[in-house]
Amino acid sequence: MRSLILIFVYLSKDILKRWFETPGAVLARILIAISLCLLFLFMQASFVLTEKAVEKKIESFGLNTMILRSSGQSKTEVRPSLDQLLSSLTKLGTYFPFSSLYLNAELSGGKRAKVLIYNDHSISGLNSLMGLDQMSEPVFLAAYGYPEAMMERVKVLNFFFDAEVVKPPSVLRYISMNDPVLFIPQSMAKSFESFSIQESVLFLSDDSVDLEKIIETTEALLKKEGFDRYEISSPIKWVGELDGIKDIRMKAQAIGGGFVGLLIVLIFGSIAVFEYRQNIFATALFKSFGLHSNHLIIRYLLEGLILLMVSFFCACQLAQLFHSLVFKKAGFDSSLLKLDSYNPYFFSENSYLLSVLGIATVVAILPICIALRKSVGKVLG
Amino acid sequence: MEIIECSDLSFRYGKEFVFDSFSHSFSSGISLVKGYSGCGKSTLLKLIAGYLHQQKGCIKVPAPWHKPSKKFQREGLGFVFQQLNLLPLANLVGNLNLVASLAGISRRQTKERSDLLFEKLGLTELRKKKPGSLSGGQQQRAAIARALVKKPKVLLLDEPTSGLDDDNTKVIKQLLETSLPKNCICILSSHDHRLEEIADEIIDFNLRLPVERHLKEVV
Repeated sequence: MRSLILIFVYLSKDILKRWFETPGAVLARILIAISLCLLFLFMQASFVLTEKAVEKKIESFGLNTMILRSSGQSKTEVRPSLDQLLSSLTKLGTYFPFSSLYLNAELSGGKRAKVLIYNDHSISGLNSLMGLDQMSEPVFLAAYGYPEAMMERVKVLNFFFDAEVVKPPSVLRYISMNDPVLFIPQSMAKSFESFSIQESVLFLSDDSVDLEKIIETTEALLKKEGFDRYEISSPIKWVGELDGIKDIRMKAQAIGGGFVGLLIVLIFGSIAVFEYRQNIFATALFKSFGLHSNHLIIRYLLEGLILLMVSFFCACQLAQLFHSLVFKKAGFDSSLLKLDSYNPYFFSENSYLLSVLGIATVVAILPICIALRKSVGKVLG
Repeated sequence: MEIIECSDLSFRYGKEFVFDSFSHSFSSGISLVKGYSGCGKSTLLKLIAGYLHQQKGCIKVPAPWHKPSKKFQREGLGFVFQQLNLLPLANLVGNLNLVASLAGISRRQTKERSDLLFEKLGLTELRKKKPGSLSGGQQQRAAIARALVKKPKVLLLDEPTSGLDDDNTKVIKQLLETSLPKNCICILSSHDHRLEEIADEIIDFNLRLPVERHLKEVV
C-alpha cells in the first residue's frame, strides 16, 4: 500500500510538472474537449427542446382533438360539404363544423379578428366548446384582453356586427393562433357567400373513442368523395412526429458521440504518445523496479480522465450560461428554456457523453499500453 | 549456497547473435564479466534481471523466485544501469524509499539502511537533493545505494564505474567489498581494470567472440 501511495505521489508530480512545463498542450486538449462537448451538449439539448415543444403542443391540444381543414367547394365542383359528410361524428364527441372567411374583421381598437361562420349543425358543438348551455348572442367575439360579456362593434367589409365578448376555449388557439375570432351564424352571413371560404371541422372525441381510427376513416372518406386539398391536424400525428424526433436523436447521438470520441482519441492519444516518448526512461526505470505496466498506464488514464472531466464540467457550465441566448435565437419558446424545470446539462442527463469520454480516454492510451510492452532492457542502456 | 544458473543461453538483436549457447553458474561473491563493447556483457545482466528475454536456454535465480520475474525484480534484485538510474522528480531519499517500499521493507528499516548507505557513500549532505543537481559520480553512488537498500540477493551492476574518477571508483569498490549482503551474488559488467581486484571470479567475454570479430575489436 505504501509503495502504491509513493508511486501515486510520484506520478502525480510527473503529471503536474508536465502541465506546468507545457501549459499549451494542456490548454489545447481542454479547449478542444470543451468545444466538442459543448457542440454535443447543444445538439442534444436542441433535440430535447424540440421533443418538449411537441409534448407541450400535444398536451395543450389534447390527445382527443382533430382539426380538419379543406378549401371551400368551387362552383364547378360537385361534392358534399364537410359538414354533411362528417355529421355522424356528432355521436362520437364534440363536433363543430364551421367555415373560415378569407377576410378579417376589424375591431374598434384597430385590431383584426378571424371570421368563422357556423350553421345550425354547429350549435351544440359550439355550446359544448364554450362551456355554455346556449350562447346568449348569435354573434360573438372570442378574444383575450377584452372584458367578458362586453358588446364590441365589429366591421366586416361594410357590414357592422355587435358581438358579445366571450373567453376563448384553449383549443381555439390552433384555429386562430391566439388572434380574436368573430363567430357569425350562417343566417347572418349571406352577404359573404361570394367570398372564398375554408371549410373546417373541429372534433373532440369522447374518451372511449379511438381517434386514430376516426382519422383513418375520415381520410378514406374524403378521398372517396373527391376532396383533394385537405389537412388533418391531430396530436396522433405529433406523437408519431415525437417518436421520429427521438429516433433521429438516437442516431445523432451515436454519430455525434462517435465523432467526439474519435477526435478526442486522436488528439489525446497523439499528445499522450508524445509525452510518453519524452518520459520513456523514467517509465522504464519504474518497470525495472518490478512495477507492473498497469500502474504506469493508470498515470495516462488518470491524466486523460482529469482533463476530460474538467472539460466536460466547463462545457456544462458554458452551455447553461449560453442556453437561453442560443436557443432563443434558434426560435424556441422562452417558456421551454427555463433550466429550473429541466436541465439537460446535468451529469445525470449526459451519461452517454460521459461514457463516450470514458471510452475515448481508454482508447487514447492504447498506443501507450502497446509501447509499455517493450522490454526494459531495450530502453535502458 | 545461492547460485544463478545460465544454461544454453542464446540471445540475438535482429539476426546477429550476441551470444549463443552460453552456460555458466554464478555463485555468491563478486563476479566480473569483462570484454569489449558489444560482446554481450550488459545483455547478460539484463537477461538475468528479466529485462530482456532470451531466445533459447534458461536462467535460474535463487529461491524463492527461481526465474526472473516481476516479484524477483521487486524483492530480490538490485540493478545499476550505466546511466539514467534515478527518478528525476524524487530526491535521493524518495528514490530509495520507493524501491524499498516496492520490496516490502518497512519505513523504519528503510530509514536505517539508507542512512547507513548514504554515510558510506558520502551522500548524507545530498540526501534531499534531486538527481538533476548531482554530478555523474554522485548519481552513480546514489544508484548503488538505491540498489543495495533492499539488501538484494542478486546485485547486477552494468559499468558502475564508467566515466568515474578514481575517488568515486574507490568509494564504490570499498562499498562492494564491505557492504554486500550475506550470500549476495554480485555480477559486475565492466571493462574497467580497476574493478578486477575486488572480483572473486572473472569471466572474459572476449574469449567467447568469433575469431574474426575478436581480431576486429583488437585492431
